[in-house]
Amino acid sequence: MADDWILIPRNDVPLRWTETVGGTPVDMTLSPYDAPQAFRIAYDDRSKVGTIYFRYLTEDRAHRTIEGDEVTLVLGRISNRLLEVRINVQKLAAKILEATINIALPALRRALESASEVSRSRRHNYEVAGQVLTANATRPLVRDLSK
Amino acid sequence: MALGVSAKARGACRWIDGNLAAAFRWCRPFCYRGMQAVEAIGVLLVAGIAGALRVEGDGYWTARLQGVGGLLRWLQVEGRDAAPVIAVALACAAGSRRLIGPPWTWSAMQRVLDKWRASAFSDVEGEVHYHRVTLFRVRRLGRVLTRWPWTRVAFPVLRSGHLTQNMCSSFRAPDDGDRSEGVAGMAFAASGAVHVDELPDVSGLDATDADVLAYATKTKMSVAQVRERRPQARSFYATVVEVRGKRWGVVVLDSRDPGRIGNKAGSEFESYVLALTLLLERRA
Repeated sequence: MADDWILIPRNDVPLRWTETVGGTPVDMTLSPYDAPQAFRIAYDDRSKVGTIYFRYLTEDRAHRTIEGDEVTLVLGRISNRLLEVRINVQKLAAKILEATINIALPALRRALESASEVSRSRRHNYEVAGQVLTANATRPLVRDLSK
Repeated sequence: MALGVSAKARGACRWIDGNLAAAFRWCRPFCYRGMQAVEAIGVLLVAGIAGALRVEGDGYWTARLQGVGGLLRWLQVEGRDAAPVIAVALACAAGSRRLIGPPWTWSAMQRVLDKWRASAFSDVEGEVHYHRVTLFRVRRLGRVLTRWPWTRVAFPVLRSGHLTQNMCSSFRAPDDGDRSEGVAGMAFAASGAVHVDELPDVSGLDATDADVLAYATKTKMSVAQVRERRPQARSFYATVVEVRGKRWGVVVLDSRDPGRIGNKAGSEFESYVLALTLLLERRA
């Protein structure tokens, strides 16, 4: 099981957009609370589920889940930030030991779109989390302990 | 431009509101200590009443405490009636103390804002008060004279530096984000950190209508407000401050320099935001 936190350099995911607030177009950047600081990957051999945990500036408890056959998202109780991504490795990968984050990216994108409908105000957090995982697509979900 | 009577009245109300808030800020530490004293006295009185009632009719203790017989009798007679009043006073004092917050957290937050100001504007020239960091609280009953009490407003509670501390401005930050006002109101309604820069200079009486309109549009204020307040800031950065995951207020950086505040990713302020959040969580 890989459980070391991997720091996310903030400059790797610069996110700028223009939002209209009450008819006024405004230039925006990501809120400091929505920027994931680090992530780690853990794999449960019994359920064959790989879980990616995100760490933020402040803490929140996992609460709401957006269930899917391949990918399940877990959001924070108060903040609705993306705290966990659970990937059903057995369903997505032909060879479990070779599974990387990449196998879950299409399902992940669909799940993140659903999450954006649940909490519009955190949609940029989901977008950045998706960008982080895309940038780390080659990271293995399962660590081969026999090696 | 000549301002109407109503504008003058509004200005006077804003001035009074701002001064009331400044007076509150000044007496905040004294109020906190006062409430602590009320709590200590209340606890002592409750203990005294309990003890006095316990020894009531006990000859041994009555003889031993003859020196304070008057006080003992007073506690025994008045104690039963006074106890509920003391309980209410204790609850009020504890609630007020919680509302005000310990003075050390306020002075620590002041240091954070000062440090933030120094870091954010280290490469920009100008006096200290030309570039400021202001913490706004967003709540109802924030300003009682200039706003309908139930309107949720962003009002300043702390500002970096030692000048421009008479903070009169307040901005609407209602549930309906479309009706939000000013950069602070926009930041509270928005899903990210707000950047507004390259604003025209409207601080002089000779500001053109086009400049005033451009300033008002970009900062989501009305033309009348810009004319009335003649703001000097020409660039802003504003982001929400959360306490235990909920939106508590907004922190606004403003500068008389029209250049953009903060880097491209807006990431350099994270440590200051975290420091403010942790201090506010200790306060609440």
